[in-house]
Amino acid sequence: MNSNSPRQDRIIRIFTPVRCLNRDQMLRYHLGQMTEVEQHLVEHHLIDCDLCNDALTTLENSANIESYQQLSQQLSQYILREYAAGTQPAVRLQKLQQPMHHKTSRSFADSAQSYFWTVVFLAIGGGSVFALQQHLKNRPPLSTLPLRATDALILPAPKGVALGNYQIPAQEAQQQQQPLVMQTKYSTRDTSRTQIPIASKTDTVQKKKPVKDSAVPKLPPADTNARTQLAQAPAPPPASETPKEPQKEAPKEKAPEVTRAANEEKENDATTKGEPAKPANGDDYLFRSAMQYQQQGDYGEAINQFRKLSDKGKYSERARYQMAICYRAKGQKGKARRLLRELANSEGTLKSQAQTELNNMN
Amino acid sequence: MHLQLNNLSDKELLLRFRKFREREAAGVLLDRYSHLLVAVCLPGLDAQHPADTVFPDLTVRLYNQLQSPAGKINDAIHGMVQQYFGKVRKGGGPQPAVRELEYRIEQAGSNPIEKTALAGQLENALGRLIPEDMELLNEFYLEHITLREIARRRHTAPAQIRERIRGIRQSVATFMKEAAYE
Repeated sequence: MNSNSPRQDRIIRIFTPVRCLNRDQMLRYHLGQMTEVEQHLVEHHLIDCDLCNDALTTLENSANIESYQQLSQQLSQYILREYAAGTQPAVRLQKLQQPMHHKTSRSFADSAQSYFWTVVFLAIGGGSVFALQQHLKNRPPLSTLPLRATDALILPAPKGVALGNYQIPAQEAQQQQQPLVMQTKYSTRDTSRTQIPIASKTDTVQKKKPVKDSAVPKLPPADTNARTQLAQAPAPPPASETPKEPQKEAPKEKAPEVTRAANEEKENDATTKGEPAKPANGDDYLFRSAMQYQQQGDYGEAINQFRKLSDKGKYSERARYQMAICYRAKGQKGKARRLLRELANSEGTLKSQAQTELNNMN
Repeated sequence: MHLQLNNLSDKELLLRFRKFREREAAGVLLDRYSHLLVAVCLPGLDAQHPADTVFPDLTVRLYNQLQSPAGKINDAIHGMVQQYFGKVRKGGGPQPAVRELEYRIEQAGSNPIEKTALAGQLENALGRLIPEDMELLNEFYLEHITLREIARRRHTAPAQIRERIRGIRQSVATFMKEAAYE
């Protein structure tokens, strides 16, 4: 096997292709400056290559060598110059123009598609925001909500005004006489006539700071749970237990307040007896929600809700009054005065309260 | 880039030119054969065929011809030059059987099993040659005697020895092809 290997290789080399001669090999072969191995390889190639054989035949004439070298160098430079990487002949430009056109059209299509989807997403986003706003503005009427008449908590106005040793101002007492209708957060439980427990904390606070509260001209809260709790507070202790100073002022303001409270109570009784468990309509719901906003301190939303009710309906006067309260709480006293002035000039039930509030603001 | 392309083989350059439209690869390929082109064209240059027009024209033709597969480049250049100067091609041009056998040997590469099988087939084909041709092949390919020396021994010209060896190669390749078909 080993003895056959060199012969095997040599036989296979008979048909092994050899590269054409380069410039150096051409001259060296012509000048006879090659080794035996190299010369054999060149001759091996010459057997098969007519091009190299003809080239060497040409170079056998020594007159051609000089022109060969000169022309060969010039042609090489020409090819390098003509076919360099940076050159853009017409053929190449023609080949390149078509893909470039496709590329630009594709990029345009991509950009158009991206614009389309951007517009679609913007439209969807804007539409959803608009729909949400519309939904918030036009909430479904109360009949569609799981609200029952028993969920409404009607708080009668208090008979007495004074609580403990706290002297309630006249305007607050008037506000407390308003029966407050509250909704207990859409609860599914039957909370009929549920009375919120009295906030003894409020009383203790009021007891702790009787002088401070009475001394500071504190703005009455717009309408809070605390006030409704105050309205349900038990009757004030006997006059003998109260301090002397409140005793002197109490009889002066109690008389009209008591009569007004009695009237309100009568009205409430009449309404509760005459219209038992009447389902709440949209105005009721709006007023309740507005009151809730007001109690939560969201005066802006409360004003919006009250404004819807202020034009017509049975809550128009009360809504305007509460709007004024809200404006005053927000610090927009001009609007509050204007509303209160309108109420005071009107012949409504809240005329006196509005006048009182107006006087307090002035 | 040019230096890197110079190290590539003709096949790789042709592939880059045909597949990726690399004009520079074609330039390297043309430059590689430019001296042979000049040497072959030199006898045909005259007043009607000045070098200023012949070589640019030939390079453009070559460039266009390289875009389509046309066998080996040296054969293509030689045939194009012969056609350009209106000469009759000597030796009958490229030999398909020889090219096919060269391709098989190239494909065998370093595979010893394939090479052994090819060597056996070649031995069989060489055994079908007449003794004179076999002796000539032995002198040239196995003993590495130069063409001039062989010609001197046989009192003939080296060109005739070359043509004779070329004919023998063609015969062996034909035998191989016939053996493959059988």
